This record gives sequence, structure tokens and C-alpha cells, in this order.
Amino acid sequence: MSESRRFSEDALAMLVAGTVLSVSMLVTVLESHGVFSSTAATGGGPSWRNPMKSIIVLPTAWEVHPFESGVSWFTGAASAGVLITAVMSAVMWLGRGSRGDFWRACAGVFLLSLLAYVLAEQKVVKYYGLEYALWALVIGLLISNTTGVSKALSAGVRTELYMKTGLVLLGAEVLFGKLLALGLPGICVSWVVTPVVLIVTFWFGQRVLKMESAALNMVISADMSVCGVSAAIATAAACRAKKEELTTAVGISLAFTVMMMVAMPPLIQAMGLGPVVGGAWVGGTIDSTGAVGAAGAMLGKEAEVVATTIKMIQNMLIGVVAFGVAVYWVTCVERTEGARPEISEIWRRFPRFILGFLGASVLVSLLYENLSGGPDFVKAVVDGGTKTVRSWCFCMAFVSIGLETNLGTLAKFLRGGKPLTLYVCGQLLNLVLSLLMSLLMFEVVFPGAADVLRK
Amino acid sequence: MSCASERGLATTGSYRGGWWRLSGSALLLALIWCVVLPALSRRPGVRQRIEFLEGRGINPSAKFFTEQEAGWRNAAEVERRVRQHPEAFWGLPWSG
Repeated sequence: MSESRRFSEDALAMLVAGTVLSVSMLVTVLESHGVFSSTAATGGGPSWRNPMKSIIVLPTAWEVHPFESGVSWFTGAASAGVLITAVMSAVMWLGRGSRGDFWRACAGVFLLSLLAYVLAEQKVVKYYGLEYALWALVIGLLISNTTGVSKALSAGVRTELYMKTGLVLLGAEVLFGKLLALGLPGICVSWVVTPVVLIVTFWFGQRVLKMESAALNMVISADMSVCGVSAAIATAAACRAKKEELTTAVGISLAFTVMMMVAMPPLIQAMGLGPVVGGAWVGGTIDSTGAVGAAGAMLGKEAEVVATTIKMIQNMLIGVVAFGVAVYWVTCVERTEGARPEISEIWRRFPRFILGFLGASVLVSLLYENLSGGPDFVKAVVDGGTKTVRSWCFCMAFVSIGLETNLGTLAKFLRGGKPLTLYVCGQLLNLVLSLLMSLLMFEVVFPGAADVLRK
Repeated sequence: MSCASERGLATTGSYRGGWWRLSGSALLLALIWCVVLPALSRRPGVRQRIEFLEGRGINPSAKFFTEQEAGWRNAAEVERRVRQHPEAFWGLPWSG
């Protein structure tokens, strides 16, 4: 498909995400004034509701067949498909002058994403933490490695556009105020241990294991130390990792997440750790946010609350890590031997979507803290609209990665076992440091905090 | 992400017998999702786990805290306790 590249993929992604975020905020405000329904707030401040919540949805959980809870989710998913295809196509046409065939290909990728999502929502799959990213990759890989991708579909394979759009929308869920949610103990467990593990693991991969790809090393280090797939996506985009490298990192992370989710609760009980220390240890070490909640719940309510809060604080690190990695990459990794890059050169190479990500985060954080009923407004904007679109975008990105990946080249990245060794060594360090910090914080320095959390 | 993948898109016709292999894989997936997994979900241990996590509002497949109701709820609960007892979470023992 011949295209004039008037705008970069980053600019297009920011345009799509900006449109979705603005529309989600606008309709939430209008709804609170009774524009879409007659239930406007009458006193005590606005009651925020997002009408998009019932229009665009994700598939619901199922046990025997996907339509057992009705067909309403299907209409909602179809509406999401129409919305995403329309906005993406309009932006592609405006920004790149693409021909009219993009919308058909984009709709095709969306349909494959819908299939991946339906597979992921089967309750056994869902409640054992085998998330949609895995099934989206599987579907894409199956097609690309059997029949190959049809010409009609290939125009819709836009991994970077979907991924960066999803990341900018994810920025709207990164609320800086949440960093202080658990006081100093939370900051120490999440924001001291995590960067130390990330940096030491990356150093270990470069200097000891001598990994061929610094990007693969960084993506594995980040997804293992920060918060799994979402951190892997953000870091991969920040350091321009190859699609196969992101696939490798996500695959390893998902496998270990399931193992740790099952193994850690009995281990913690056998070690006789209390619910607060145990919860903090789970929150600081298991990659995936959802799996942390599941493992914490197995240890009891107090452990669940501590584990999910520690993980939430770690979630907030995504923006900082993505920004730091992007700066490190353009200034140190990609620079010419011995030469110090000019500011203009750094700016030219800097992935601009990170600025969109941080911009969305700052805007939503300010609204959360300062607006009357801010937390409810942000929850309505995120839960009702941006989170759903973000999830679809990430799913479409993983389908696209699968469609672009050859199993033979994927095996090349696992050869020699270095990625696996890196993950295991990094995770062992993470386990030791997180446990020591949790014990130090909740047993030695802030025992009162543990008492309050146990009440 | 790098614009370049290790290799370009494999277009239709790149592989021999591809449609047969794709159909076979799709059939296998359908069998697992329509027969094996529903049967697994009826096993007492698995059912108990599903009901327990569903009841708590926990989604083990969540990628971010906003994707599970328990994420928002637990954060609000912790923030309430920290507001009630700031000295327990912010006061260093040696600061008096």
C-alpha cells in the first residue's frame, strides 16, 4: 500500500488516544448534566457516569459457551469494533493519506482480537491467569505460520499504531497520587526494590550473560521487575525492541506468573510469614497485577489488600520506567561510538508517544486530586471508555505481532537459554530483596503500619 | 517497537498445505475450548477457585489495577486506613 508519511506512528497514536480520552471525558461531563438521560445530579456535587460504558464493552466471562450470559456483550464488542475501526481509519487517512482499504483490514484484525478475547474469557483460562495477550499471539502465529496473511488483512497489521495508542490510553490510568497509598513502607517495597532489581538484572544480562540483544534484556528485566505484560509493552516500545523480543519476554513472564501464583501462597504459609509481609512479598514479586490479587486472596483478606496495593504502586512505575528507558536508549545505547549525542539528535530519536503517555497521566492525576468528586470522575472516564479501548488496542497489537512473527525466528531468541536464565536469576534477586524489604518495613521500621493493616 | 520485524509478513501462499494445517489447529482449539475446558470447570477444585475469585472481584488475568474491582476497592480501603493513622505509615521510629 503506497502511503505518504505525513505523520509518524507516534503522532497518529497520540491523535487516536487523545480523541478517545477527550470523548470519554466529554460524554461523562455531559451525562452528569442530564444530556443523555434525565438523571442529572440534583445536589451534593455531580454524580459521574460514563454512557460509553454500556455501548462499548469487552467479552464477558463464560464457562460452557460464550453466549450463556446473553448476546449484549457481542453488540457492545461490535460497537467497540466499529468505533475503533472508524477512528483508526480516519486518523490513518488524515495522517498518511492511506487508501480506503485500511478499514477493512483493521476490522479483520479486530475480529481476530475478538476471537482471542473470547478464548481468554473462558473461566478456567481466565481464573488461571492466561490472559488475552497469549491467545492473540497464538491466533496470529497460527495464521502467519500456516496459510500466511492475506493481502487484504496485511494493511491492518499495524502493531506500533495499536500498541502506542493503547499505551497513551494506559497513561490515563497511571495516577501519581496512588504512589503514596501505603505510606513509606509501600514506597520502599515498590519504588526502591523494583528499580534496583531492574538495573541489576539488566547489568547482569549485559555483563555476565552477555545477551546479544540489549533490548530483549531490557524488556525481560522490566516485565519481571515491574508488572508483567503492561511493563513489557511500554519498555519494548520505549527501546524499540523487535516484535519477536516482546513475544519472548511476554511468553516467559506469563509462564512464571502462573507458576508463582500457584506456588507462592503455600510457600508463604509454610514459612510462617504473616498476612501483611506475605501480601507485600506477593505484590512485589509476581509479575502480573491480576495474579497478585489471586495469590494474595489465597492468603486471606489482609494479604489481598496489601498485595494489590503494593502492585498498584508498582503499576505507577510504568511511566517512569518507560521514560527512563527511552532516555537511556537514545543517549547511551543507540549513540555513535564515543560521540555524545546533541540535544536535537536526542529529541529527534526520542519516542514521542511517551510524552503523550505522561501527558495523559499528569492530566488525569490532577483531575483525580483536584476536581470535586475527582476519583469518581476518573473512574467513570477510565472504566467506562478508555480502559476498554486500551484493552482492544493491546489485543489488536498482539494479534498483529503474531501475524508478523515466524516461529523459526522466534526459536532463535530462545536458543542458548539466555532469556530464561536472565528471567530466573532476576526473579530470584527480586524474591530475596522484596522479602527482606517487606520484613524490614513491616516488622522492624513500621510495625505499627502492619498492626493497622491487620485490623 | 522496532518497525522492522525479523522477517516480513508471510503472505497467503507462502506455505504448502497451509489451509489444512490451519483447519486442523482451529478444530483442536474448538475441541479444547468447547469440550475440555468446560469439563475442567466442573471439577470441584477448579469450580471452588473460580467462585472464590469471582466473589472477591479478582481477575487474575488483569494487566493493571484498574482492570479489577478489587484493585480500586482495596486501594480505597488502604488509603482510608493511612489517613486515619498517618503516624503508623509516615512516622519514622527514630524521629520521635
